[in-house]
Amino acid sequence: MTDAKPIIELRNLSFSYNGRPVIENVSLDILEGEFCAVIGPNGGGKTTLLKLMLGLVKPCQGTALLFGAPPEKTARLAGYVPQDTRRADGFPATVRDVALMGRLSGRFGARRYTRADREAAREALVRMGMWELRDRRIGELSGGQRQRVQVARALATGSRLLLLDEPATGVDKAGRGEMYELLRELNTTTTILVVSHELFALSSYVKSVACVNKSVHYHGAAEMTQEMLDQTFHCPVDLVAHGLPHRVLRSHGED
Amino acid sequence: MLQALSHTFMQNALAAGLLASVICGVVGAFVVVNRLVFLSGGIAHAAYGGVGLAVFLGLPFLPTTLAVTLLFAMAMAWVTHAKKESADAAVGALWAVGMALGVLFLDLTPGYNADLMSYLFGSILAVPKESLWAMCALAFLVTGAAAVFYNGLLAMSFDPEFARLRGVRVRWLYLGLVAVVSMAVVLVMRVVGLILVIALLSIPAAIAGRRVKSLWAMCALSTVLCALFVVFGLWLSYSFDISSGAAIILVAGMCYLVSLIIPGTGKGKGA
Repeated sequence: MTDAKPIIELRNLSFSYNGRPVIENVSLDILEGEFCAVIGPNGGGKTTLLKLMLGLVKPCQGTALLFGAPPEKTARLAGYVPQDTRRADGFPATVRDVALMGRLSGRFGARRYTRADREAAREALVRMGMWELRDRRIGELSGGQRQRVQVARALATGSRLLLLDEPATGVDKAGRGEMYELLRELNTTTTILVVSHELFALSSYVKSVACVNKSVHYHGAAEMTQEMLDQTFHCPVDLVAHGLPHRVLRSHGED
Repeated sequence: MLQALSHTFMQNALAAGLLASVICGVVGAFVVVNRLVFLSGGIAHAAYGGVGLAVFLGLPFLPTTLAVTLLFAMAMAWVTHAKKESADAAVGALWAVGMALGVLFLDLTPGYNADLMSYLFGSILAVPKESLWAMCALAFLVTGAAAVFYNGLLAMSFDPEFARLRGVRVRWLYLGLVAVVSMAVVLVMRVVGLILVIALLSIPAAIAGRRVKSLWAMCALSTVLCALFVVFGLWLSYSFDISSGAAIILVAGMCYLVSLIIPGTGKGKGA
């Protein structure tokens, strides 16, 4: 891991919304091959952090680099799985249409999809177990199925980096396990950053953890000891949602 | 109906109605999936400011109205794109200000006694030839643009953020869409009135959107529905000697009600 190069580099990044600081002076490197969980309380800035990495929002201070360049230039190379907003409800598009959007290109989307595009979308849907449902309207699917289609859309881009924002929302417990298992398989070839508020369920999969609450505390692979994971795993309560009932991670230090 | 069609004004009315159906069916599908019905309402009413200005200054109707409408439409597009939180109220304000300007300009025009109702509900039975040609051109422009930019427009309508990440200039597509809505509103308003424009942009597309699997099918079905409403409305208007615009709106509205009772294919709220 030590030789891996950073795919995402954040330097002294700050972002505020309507004068309220959301992200404060964050520096963070995400290395190639990582499987990092981004955890933190609601409103702690997890989604904003992801959007800063992708250039979807502009930082007030500091710089973000994605694949070594400003994210506005390189966002095409990333696979993004946004939070399910239920925007799909009633939308006239099939599962296959949505997966194909991962192949979108051209300044105004005027380019036709090629056979290679269709094949990439098919592969991504097969991988996510959604190929059978390819001709269903996206709004007819359950929350969990929709999330899988969103992951398929991100995979169809052919990206080496996946950023997922709460992919387990609306997914039942068994489905979550499957989702995380899939991410672990993907991690053999892809760098993964997953926002979640449940480290508990993720802990046996991830290699590193970034705790976000305006500032970011990063816990690298070296810190993720078996003992710590065991502790997390046996923890009866959701670690973050309940504040910090006990320390499973090493203390954040002074603050 | 056949006897009615022997009149030139009825032939023109039918042609205008069918052209309006192509324009409103295709544009309406994009308006509905992008939830731009309120914005389109604002554009249609602000267009009245353009009507007033054209009459007041004695300028040609079509270019003047189009210019003023585009101005208001771009202002609305800017607030809805850049300041989503305050967009609702801002569009409402622009809506009313445009309309008020129109009323004021008409007040200030000496000796002008134009019937407000003819702009509100149009005069489909008295469509000038130039209007027909302009609508014909717009119908081609609209279907052509929808076909060429289909993938980009679909992705933007579904998830603009993701489309942006793919390198698509979402802002320009959005401004382009709003500009096309403005053109549709101005041309179709002349024919069927600014209130009917909203009905034709939203009702057929809303009925179609719940029953089809793709955006292009939604465009096609809403065009067909729109044409059916126009033809049936015109027939009612001719047979019972009632106002054509109102007849078309009521036919569309009744069908919308019926369609809400019959379950569609997509669960949840309409598109």
